Amino acid sequence: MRTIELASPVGAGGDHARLYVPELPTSRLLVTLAGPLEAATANLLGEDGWSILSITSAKGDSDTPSLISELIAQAAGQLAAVASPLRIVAAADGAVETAAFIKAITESHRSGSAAVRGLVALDPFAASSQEGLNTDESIAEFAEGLLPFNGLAIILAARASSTDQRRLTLALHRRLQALGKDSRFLAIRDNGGSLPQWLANGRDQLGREFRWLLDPVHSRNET
Amino acid sequence: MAPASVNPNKIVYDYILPPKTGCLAFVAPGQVLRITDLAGLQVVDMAVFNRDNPRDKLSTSYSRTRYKPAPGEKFVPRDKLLPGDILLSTICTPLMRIRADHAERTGVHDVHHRMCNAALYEYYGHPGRRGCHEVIADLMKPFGLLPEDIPDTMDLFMNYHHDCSKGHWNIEPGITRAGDFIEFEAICDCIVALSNCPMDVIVPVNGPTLSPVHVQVMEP
Repeated sequence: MRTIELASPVGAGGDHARLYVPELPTSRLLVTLAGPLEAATANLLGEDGWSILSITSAKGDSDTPSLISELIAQAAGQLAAVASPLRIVAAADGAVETAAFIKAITESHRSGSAAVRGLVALDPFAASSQEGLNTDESIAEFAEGLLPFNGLAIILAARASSTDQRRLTLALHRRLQALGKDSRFLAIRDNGGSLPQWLANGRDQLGREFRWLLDPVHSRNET
Repeated sequence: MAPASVNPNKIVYDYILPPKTGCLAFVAPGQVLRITDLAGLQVVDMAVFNRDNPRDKLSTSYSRTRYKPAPGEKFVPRDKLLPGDILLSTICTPLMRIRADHAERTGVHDVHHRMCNAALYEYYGHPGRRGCHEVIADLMKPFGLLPEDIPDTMDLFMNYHHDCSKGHWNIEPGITRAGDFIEFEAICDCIVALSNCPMDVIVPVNGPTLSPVHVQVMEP
């Protein structure tokens, strides 16, 4: 696995972005905003042909989506020689991170720099409920943010130990389903792992759903 | 029939499976898998595997014929599976129990026939089409199984019955209405492979339009 430090750090204080490129890269790029990525996890994903852009933290300020969008563009540039066009899945753990990603995806689509085809959001209301925000409003805001993206496959997951997160995340999932979006909901048994570790485990529900976001199993795909 | 209510705090997996696609559901012991026919008349082919050893897999034959008899009960091989019956594996491991079957008639599921597959479509003038066998084989490939390892499926909502006078099986349109569902409670840790049946030629196994089904896994 080759690692490339990218030039535009997100935020300050040692935050960084790193691109992992496997020996046999494919068109698949996973962009994570979910804490540090361990080498073993990167290797597991790399064995399945995933390149990974790991952004270590997001401050949630107004610049963050632009910085994420810029990092995705940089990663796409780095991978252009081996895989183009890229098929990108964005994975975020937490409310701030998910919100930043949705805005970044919007910017990337608008600029035409990269097309994000999949979104994995774990506990997308994690901060909202703690801060006592209007959750109905938050659900509507999330759904509205995702509305313009046709063909975006979505996994909404919640740590099973939090009843609030499960309820809110399921409500968002149902809202998206009602809007005709390709969404699936999972409650994850929290075994102390990180989102990237769960994605890397291809023998578990989340890891399998993640792998099939871009390549669903079908008998035929014509309508 | 309106679907029975589900406690949202108990849902661990929720997905609307589009026509002509497949998915896996991981169902832990005690958890319940519910499959709801959203529009009616849609067949779903289901294969069940013991998660600890996926080569240990559903046997519809043993499920019909190796049920535990009541004291003094005669051995009578059954032709259908009903609520309370146990899905057994090829080595008689209890996999799942049928918990509910909400349709106008219970037991209208095929437990004799195998799946549609590419060969069937090719024989009847539709070369290049893939069937439920290919879908389920793709789903189980990451678990080390090959197409030849895929067992006979339980074909949910499929109206398939034997005509003894003619000596053949009849495939007829299903009887499910929108919202009818079937539930299975896992006895061991299970992987359930589902294929929303793509058959819209050859025989009228599905309704006039292929339609989505709702797949849910719930905690007890």
